[in-house]
Amino acid sequence: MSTPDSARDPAASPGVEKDWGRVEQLFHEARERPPDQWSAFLAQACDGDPALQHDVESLLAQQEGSLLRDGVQALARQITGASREGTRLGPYVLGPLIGEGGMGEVYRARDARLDREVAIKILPSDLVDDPDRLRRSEREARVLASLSHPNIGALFGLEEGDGLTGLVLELVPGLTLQQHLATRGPLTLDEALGIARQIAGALEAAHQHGIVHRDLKPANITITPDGLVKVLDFGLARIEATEAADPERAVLVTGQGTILGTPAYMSPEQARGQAADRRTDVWAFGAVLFEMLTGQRVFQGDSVADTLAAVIHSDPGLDRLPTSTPAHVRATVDRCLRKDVRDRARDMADVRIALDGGFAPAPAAAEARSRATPVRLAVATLLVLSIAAAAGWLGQRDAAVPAQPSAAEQNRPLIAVRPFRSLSTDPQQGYFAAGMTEEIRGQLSQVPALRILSGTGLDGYADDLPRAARELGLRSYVDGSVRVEGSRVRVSAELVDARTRESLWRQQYERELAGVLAVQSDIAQQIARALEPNLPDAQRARLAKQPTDNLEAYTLFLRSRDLQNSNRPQNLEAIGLLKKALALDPKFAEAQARSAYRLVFMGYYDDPSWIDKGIAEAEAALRIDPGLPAGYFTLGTAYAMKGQGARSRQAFLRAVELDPSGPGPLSNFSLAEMQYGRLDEAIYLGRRGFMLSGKRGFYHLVTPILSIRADAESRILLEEAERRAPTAARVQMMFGMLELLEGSGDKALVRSKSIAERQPNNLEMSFHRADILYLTDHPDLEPVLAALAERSPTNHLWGGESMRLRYAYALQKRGESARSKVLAADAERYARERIAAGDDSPEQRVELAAAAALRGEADAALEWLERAFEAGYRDYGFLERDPIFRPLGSDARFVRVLDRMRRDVEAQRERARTRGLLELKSLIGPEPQS
Amino acid sequence: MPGHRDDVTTLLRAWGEGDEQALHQLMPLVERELNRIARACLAGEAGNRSVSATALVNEAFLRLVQIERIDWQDRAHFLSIGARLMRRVLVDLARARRSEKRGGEAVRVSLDEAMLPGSTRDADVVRLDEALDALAQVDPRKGRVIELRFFGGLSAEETAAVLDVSTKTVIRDWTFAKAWLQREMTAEVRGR
Repeated sequence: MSTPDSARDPAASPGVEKDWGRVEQLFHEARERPPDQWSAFLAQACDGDPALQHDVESLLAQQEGSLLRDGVQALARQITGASREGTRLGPYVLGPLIGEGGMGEVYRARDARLDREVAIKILPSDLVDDPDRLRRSEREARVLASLSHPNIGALFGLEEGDGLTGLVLELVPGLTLQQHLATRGPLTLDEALGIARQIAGALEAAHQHGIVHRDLKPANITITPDGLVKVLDFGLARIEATEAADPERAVLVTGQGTILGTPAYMSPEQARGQAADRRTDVWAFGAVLFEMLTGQRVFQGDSVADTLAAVIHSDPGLDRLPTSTPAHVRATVDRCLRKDVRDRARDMADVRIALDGGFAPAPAAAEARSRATPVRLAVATLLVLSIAAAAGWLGQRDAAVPAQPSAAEQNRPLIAVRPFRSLSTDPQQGYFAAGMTEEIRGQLSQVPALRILSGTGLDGYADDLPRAARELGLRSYVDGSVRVEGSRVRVSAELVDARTRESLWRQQYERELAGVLAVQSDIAQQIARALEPNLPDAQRARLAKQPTDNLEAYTLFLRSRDLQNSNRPQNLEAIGLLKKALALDPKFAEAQARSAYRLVFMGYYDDPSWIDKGIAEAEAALRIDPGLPAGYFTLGTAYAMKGQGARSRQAFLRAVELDPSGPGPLSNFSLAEMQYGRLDEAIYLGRRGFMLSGKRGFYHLVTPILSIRADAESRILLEEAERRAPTAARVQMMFGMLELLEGSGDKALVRSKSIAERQPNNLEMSFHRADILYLTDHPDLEPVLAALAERSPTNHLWGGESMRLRYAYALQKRGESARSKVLAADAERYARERIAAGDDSPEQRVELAAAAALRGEADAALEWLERAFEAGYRDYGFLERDPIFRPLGSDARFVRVLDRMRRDVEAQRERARTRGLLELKSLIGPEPQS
Repeated sequence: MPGHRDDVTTLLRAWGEGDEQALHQLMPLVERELNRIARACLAGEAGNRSVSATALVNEAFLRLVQIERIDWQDRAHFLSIGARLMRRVLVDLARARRSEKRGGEAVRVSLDEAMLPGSTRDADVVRLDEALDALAQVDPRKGRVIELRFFGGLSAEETAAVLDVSTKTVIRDWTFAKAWLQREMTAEVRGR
C-alpha cells in the first residue's frame, strides 16, 4: 500500500514499483491535455487511489530547474568555480555573472573600446544550434531593438563569440520590484502608482510597436537608484521560446501548445496555451499592481497546476487590497484581472485612464510617455554604473566607433618622447640616455589618458615638429639630455607644445648616479601631471614606481635592450645580461618579463620548449608585479604561438588595457586575432598601432586588411607604403600576396624572387618566396622547400600547412613516395601532439587536413577543414590555390567549406566597413589616384 | 605513450565485440584521463571555453585511442563510458568542494525562477547523483538515459542507438525522468 511519503522515497517502499509503470503512463496521458484538465482527468483515471493521483500530479507540477536544463556545462562551471568571465563576444568582454534568469545566465559585460557596460544574456545552446530558431530569434531581436523608451530596458543586439551567442541588453542598476517587495512588503499608494504609471508607459510604447511583453512580473521590473522604472526582457519569451514541436523542453508543454511565462502572472488564456496579445500584458499589469499594494501575489497555489487552476477559476480576492485604496485604483485592478478577455481593459490606454480616476481627461499618449516621473524608494540599492543607449544594431553595429580617433580619443593628447641626447664624454654611457627615453616612454604609455607615439614615430619628420603636429595630431613632445660624469649624472628634461614650441615644463636634475632611476620616475610623473592634472592615484603610484633600485642591474638591463630578438646569438646574450640583472635584484620584474619575452622568441624559430620557459618566467614576473604590461604581453605572444587562443586573447587584452600605447601588444595581438579569423578586430588593432607609430607601421595595418580581402584598399595602402619605403621587405611581401590572391601569380613570383635575392639573410623573405612557389605549384618548389623544411617544424606565415608537409607534397609529385610518406607522417604526428597538448589554433587542423589529403583521404581532409573553419581559418584564397587540396577541388563539401569561409570574410568586411575600419583618408591622407 | 594507447584501443574493440571484462579494465584508464582533462579544462581556465561534456569526452578519446584503428560505432560506446565517468568526475569535484565549505549541508533547492546562488550548485549536483542512483534502482533504463544525455551530452538519437531503443522512447523517458528527478531533488531531506 503506497503512501505519499513513499512516493518520494522509492527505495523505502516496494509498493511503488508496481505503480511505476502506471504512474508513467498517466503522466504522459495527462500531458496530452491542457493543465486545467489534469485534475479532472486524473481523478477519473485514478478512481479511488488518491495517493496515485497525488503522485502523478506532483510530477506534472515539476518545472524544469536550471540544473537539469542548462546541462553539464553550467554545472561544471559552477562546481569548479570556473566562469565565463573573460569570454569575448564581439566587442564585449564578459564580466561577472549577475543573474540566472528563467532562460539563461546574464553577465555584466564591457565594451573595452567604448568603455561602457552592458548586460549580456547567453542564449541556450539548443536555440543557437538550430539555424531556423536562431534566425527567428534574430528577427525578433531586430524588432525589439527598435524599441526606445525611457522605461524599457534596451536591447542593443546579438553578439557571438567563443561558441556562445548572447543578447546584449542595457545594464540597469538597481533592485527588482520583486526584491523590493520581498524586503519591504507592500508599497505605499503613491509609490505603487508612480511605478505603475511608468510600467504602463513602457507597455503602451511597446504595444504601439506591435510588441507584447508576455512575461511581465515583478522580477522583470527594475527600479534604478534614481527611481526610474525599467521594464526588462520585453518579448524575450518569444526569442527564447521553445516551439510546440519540441516535447522535451518545457515540462508544461501539452498537446495543445506551449505554455510560456510564470504561472502566477499568467493570464487565463495563457494558462490554456492560447496566444498572448496586448491584453495578456494588461492582465499581468493588474497582477503586478495588486502585488505592489498588498505584498502578495494575486494567484498563488501550492503547485504549478494549482496556481494555474487558480488563475483560470478563482476569484482574485480584491478585498485583500488595503482599505485605503481609492475606488478607482481598485476598479483598475479589477478591470485588468477579468478572466474573460472581452471584459478586460482593452489596452494600456484604457488602463491609464482608469488609473487616473476615469473622470479626468485622458492625457495624450505622447505626454504620458514622457511622464517618466521617478519614484524614490527608501531601500538601499546596488551601486553600479549605468549606460547610455546605443545605436540600433544589424548593419549599424558600432557605428559609434569610428576609425578616426573619436571625440573621446582626440581629447587624449598624442605625445612623443624624443630620444634624450647623450652629453656624456664617455660614449659607453650613451645607453643611459637611450634607456631613459625608453623608460619614460614606457611609463607614460601606461597612462590611459595619454597616447604615446612609438619610438620611431617621428622618424619621417626630422626636426619638422610643426609638420608632425599637423599630420599626426601631435600635441606635445618631451626633449631631454643626459650627462654622466664619474659618479654623478645630470639630466635635463622639457615638455614642449608641438604647435607653438612653447615650453610647458622644464627641470634639471643633478644626482649621484645611483639616483638616476629616481630621476627617471620623477620626470615621468611630472610630465604626466603636466598633461593630465586629474591623474588618478593608482596611476600616479604606478608612475612613481621604479623598475629597480639597483643601478648595476639597471645598467645590465639597458645594455640588453640594444640586442635584437630575432638574432639568435644576440638574443642569447641579452638573456644572459638579464639573468645577471635578476641575480642582483630578484624583484626586477621588468627584467624578468623581458627575459621571458626573449625566451619565447627563441621558441619561434627554434625549439618550441623555449616557449614554456618563457611562460613560466612571465608568470614569475607577474607575481612580483601584477600590473606589469610586459608580463601579459609575453604571455599573449607565447600562448598564441602555442595555439591557445583563449588564453592568448585574455593576456593580450590585459596588456593592451594596461599599456594602451604599447606598440608590441597592439601588433602581436593583431596577428593573434588574425590567426583566429577575427579579421575586423585585427584591423582595428592594426590601425591603432599604425596611428601610434607615426603612420609608419604598414605591416600590421595591411596584413589584416589583406586577409579580409579588401583588395582595393590593400593596394592603395601598399602603393603608398612602397612610395615611402621602396626597399622595405615586408611591403614587397604583402604586395606579392596581394598579386597572388588577385590571380597574378606570375607577378608575385617575380616580386618574391627579387626581394629574396636582395635580402638573402632575411629568413622571412625566404619563407615568403616558398609560399609563392608553392601556391603557384612552381617546378622550382622542391629545392627551396627542402632547405626550409629542415629549419622549421612549425607552420608559418598566413597559417597554411607546414613547410614540411609541403615538401612531402613536392616529393610525392616527383614520385619519391616513400620519403614523402615518412615526412608526412612526422608532420601529422607533430600536429596531433600539438592538438592533444591543447592547441586550438586553426593551423594544426589545416595541417591534418593537408596530411589526409596527401594520403588521398577526402573525408578526413574535409572533416579537418571544417574544424579549421570552426577554429577560425579564413584564408580561402590560399586554400583554393593549394596544390595538396587540388584533388578535392570539385568535391561539393570542399566547395562548401570554401564558401563558408568566403561568406564569413565578406560579412566581416562589411562590418569593418560600417565601423569605418576600411577608411583610408585618416591613415594616409587624401586617396591618391590609383 | 604508444603502449598506453594500444591498450585502450584493444580493450575498446574487445568490449565492442562483447567482452565485458574489457570494459572493467577500460574504465580506470579512461577515468584517469578524463579526470585529468576535466580538471585542467574546468578548473584552470577562467571560463574561456564553453565547456562541453562531449568535447571533453572527445578529447579524451582522441588522446587515448589510435584513431585509425577505431570504427565509429565504438565511439558511441566510448561516449557512454564517458558519460558515466563524467558523472563520477563532476560529482567527486562537487563533493570535494562542498566539504571545503563551511556548513556544507544539503540545501533545499528552490523552485523559484529568481536567482539561484552559485554555492548551492555543489549540493545540487550531489543530490542529483543520489537521485539518479535512486532512479536507476527503480528504472535502470531511465537512469541510463539521463546519464547519457545529461552527463554525456548525447543527442536523443545517439542515446537511442546506444540503448537500442527508439528515439521516441528516449524522449519519453527523458521527460518523465527529469520530472521525477526534479521532484526527488526538492524533497525534504530525511535523515541524509
